[in-house]
Amino acid sequence: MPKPFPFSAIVGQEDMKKALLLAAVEPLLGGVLVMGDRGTGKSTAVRALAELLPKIETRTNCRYNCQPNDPQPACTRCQAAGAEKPALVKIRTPMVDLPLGATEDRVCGSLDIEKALVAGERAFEPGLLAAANRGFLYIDEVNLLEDHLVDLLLDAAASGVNVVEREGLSIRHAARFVLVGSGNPEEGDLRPQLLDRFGLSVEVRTIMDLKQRIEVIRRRDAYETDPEAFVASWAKRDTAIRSRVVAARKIMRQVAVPDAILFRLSQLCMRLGIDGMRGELTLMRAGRASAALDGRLEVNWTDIEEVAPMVLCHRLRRDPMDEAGTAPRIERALAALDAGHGHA
Amino acid sequence: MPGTAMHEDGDGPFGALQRQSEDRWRDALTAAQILAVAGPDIGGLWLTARASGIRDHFLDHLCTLNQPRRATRLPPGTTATALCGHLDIARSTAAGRIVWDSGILAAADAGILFIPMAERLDPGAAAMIAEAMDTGTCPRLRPNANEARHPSRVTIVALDEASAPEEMIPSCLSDRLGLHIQLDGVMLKTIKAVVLNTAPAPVTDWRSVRLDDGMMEQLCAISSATGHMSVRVLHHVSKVTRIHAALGGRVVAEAQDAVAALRLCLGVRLTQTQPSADQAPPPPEPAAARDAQSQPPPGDAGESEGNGTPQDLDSLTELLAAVEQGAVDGLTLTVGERAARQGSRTGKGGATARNVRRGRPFGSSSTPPFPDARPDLVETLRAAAPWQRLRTRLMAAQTGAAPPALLIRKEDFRYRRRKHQQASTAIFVVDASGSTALERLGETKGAIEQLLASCYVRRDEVSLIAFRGKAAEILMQPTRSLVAAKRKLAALPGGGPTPLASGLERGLEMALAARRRGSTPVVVVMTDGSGNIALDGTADRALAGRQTETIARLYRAQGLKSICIDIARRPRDSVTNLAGLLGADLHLLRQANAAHMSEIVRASMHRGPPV
Repeated sequence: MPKPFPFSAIVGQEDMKKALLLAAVEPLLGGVLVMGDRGTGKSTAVRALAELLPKIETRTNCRYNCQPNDPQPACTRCQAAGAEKPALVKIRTPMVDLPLGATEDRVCGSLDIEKALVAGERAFEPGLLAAANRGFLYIDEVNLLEDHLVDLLLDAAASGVNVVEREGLSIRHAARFVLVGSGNPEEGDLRPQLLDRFGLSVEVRTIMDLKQRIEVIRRRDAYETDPEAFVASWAKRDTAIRSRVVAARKIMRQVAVPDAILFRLSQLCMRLGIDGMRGELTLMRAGRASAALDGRLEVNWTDIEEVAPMVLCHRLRRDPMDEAGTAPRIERALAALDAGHGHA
Repeated sequence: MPGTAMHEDGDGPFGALQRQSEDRWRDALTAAQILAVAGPDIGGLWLTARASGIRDHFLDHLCTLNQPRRATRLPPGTTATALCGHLDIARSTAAGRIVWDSGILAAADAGILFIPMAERLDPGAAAMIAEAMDTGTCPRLRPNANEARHPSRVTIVALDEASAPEEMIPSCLSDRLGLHIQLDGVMLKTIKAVVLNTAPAPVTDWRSVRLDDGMMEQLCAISSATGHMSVRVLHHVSKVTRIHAALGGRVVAEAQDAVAALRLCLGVRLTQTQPSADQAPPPPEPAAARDAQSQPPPGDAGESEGNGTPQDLDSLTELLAAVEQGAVDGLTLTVGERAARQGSRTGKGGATARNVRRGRPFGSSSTPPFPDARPDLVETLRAAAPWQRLRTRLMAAQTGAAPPALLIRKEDFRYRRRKHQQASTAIFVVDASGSTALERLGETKGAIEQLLASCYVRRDEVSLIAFRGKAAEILMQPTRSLVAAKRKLAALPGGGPTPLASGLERGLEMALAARRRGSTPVVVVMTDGSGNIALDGTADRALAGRQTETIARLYRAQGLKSICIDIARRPRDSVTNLAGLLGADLHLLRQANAAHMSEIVRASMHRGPPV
């Protein structure tokens, strides 16, 4: 398989790139939803991100991507004692594509027929959720996916655990992954209940700037002509992004959120009438990830302002016929908050 | 080639048809050549043509040109498992262990994959094919870390036999196929006249062909102006431009290549010539100026004569101007709209019928869902598997005979259950004429928006037909997309006479189409009942009345569920009569009370057709 298109070579779409990087820094954010027109580089960006991120350490042929020093009970290979333990290996960050036609069996895992038939034993055949552990699970056209599958995925993504109770199997295994969904709103929307379970949501639009469009074509063409050389010529910039992410992950837990910022972001959420605490929590986490990406140890209001649209856009109570969309409402609320703050 | 037709028929309708036939055939042959050169690099070919000898002839030619590539035909009704690998029963039983087949996509690697009846392709299967096209590898159904993905560099030829406008090939596929060719309207005579050139295209490296920024900008502008916003489409156009140049032995792409690429990829061609002021020199134009339909663009003339005439230089600019004036006949002009429609058909539906013979599998059961159901082999094996060791021991103990390899009992049998979506489609036929428009159109629009929002929550489809002026117009094909609907509604104008008959006719057509798709249509007619325009657009109140009656009776004859909403200020007999003829429930709406109206429609949708 040829190397994917480099992340740094993607023209424009800054919001999408930022959201993906935030999710890579802080997996607890709860996934990214990318809605937009066809051919705007959604899948390219996600595939590129997996290539860009640092490799993870696991054992050879582990089907659950176990941490070498913390094997999961479900994983028979990594549980093996002493010398039988498979060798350590570094693999690319897992990036699993979930096809539209996927069944529940394949997503969660099911009984391994081969073992059952040949050895007569009940063995578990891990599914896509196991394969995506410690990586990304990408669903193109998430808005067309069967509802029960979306429920299942969001549940696993939120809890980080996949629980299988079927065919006499009773298995739990870690499924900590960043869920990335994409879709085209013209082909039908996602149910509102599902929308707010995604941590971040960005809208991508086709690039309308002539120069940028041409640049997209030129780069794509150069990539197709000679993928190796093209990837090599962007390697430096990709490495720069990778080291930013690595550094951010390290300092992430030390980034402080001042009380004043927390107070203001709660005010913002109240002003926008957002139900529940998930919005505030995600906003805080996203702000922290954003500061960490910048290499700072304290969150400032600019971080919050920057991530607020991605975090809150899809949580606003929607007026289905609102012409302008929800982004301007957030901007207005931010502006109002700034003005109010000045007076106080 | 063009000369053969000219002297016989000159112009006139037949001449125009013949020219169109020749153009299409020539384009198809060029496309076949380009496909042979580029293969998977441009995704593939979207061929709009009904099954016919001409299509077969073209496909044979395509296969000959693509010689080293093997052609595979996708069986109709292909599922995701068939595409990406499934349990190979024959080999498994022979080998005594589980053998997985690699699937059609892996088998078709480095070949051509024909998708017959592409408009019926399952969205899941289409998504798999699209993924294979993107990554060049076959999507894996069984996640397995220690197994490399099969390479799958396929060239797709999607045979689109769509007849009704709402049948479309899945948009994730149409967006990825570079070339789009139409063969309908190609005459046998044309094909006989053209000798096929089966010699392989000269080996040139099209990647070394240069395409300068100026031309690129123009391509970009034209594809945007024709509504192709996708960067992927633009990329295909630029590649086809360069391949076309390479085929002509040029190292720098010229305007003629760009014009050809736009025609081959987007189907952009001039339908009428420019206003005569800037239309002085080219000799073939005046005769063709009278043709309403397809007409070779100026660049095409240059191409077939094989010389770079001065008109060639600004042919792109001219094309752009024409596009902006709306004077082009675009084959795929409405890809975006079609995509919206397509998407709304897939995905979730409202009510679903379970245990039916067709539809998406959603699980398995131990009892057959219908009498002659076939067992699901894999599920059956899965159910039987854990018991094998026990059963063999038991059998050995009871009979002493050597047990067979597999012991399957009656209780192991599993059957696949399928569910089938029975979506509802609400078709609004709205009176936007002067008699109602001024007073009520605004209110009605608001009510429809509300209804649309609630339909969206219920996953029902909504479409909108408005009638005003001379005839009715379909503003929105059945959709579940709020984004698309909102735009259409906002742009709905009001005023003019009332072509009620035409509105009802369109509504009937759409309702029957929805029913053919397996959806349950409900027609909501909102009018004040005073139709005064006949079907042919003449202002003949008596004729219009008779036609309205005839069509209304058809609703009843077809057993369509309909609702008639009187939106006049004072109740009128005309609407009551109409409701009687339609067999519709009549509702009076003094004020367009959105919640009330939504409730009426919802209740009708879930009651099913009248008895």
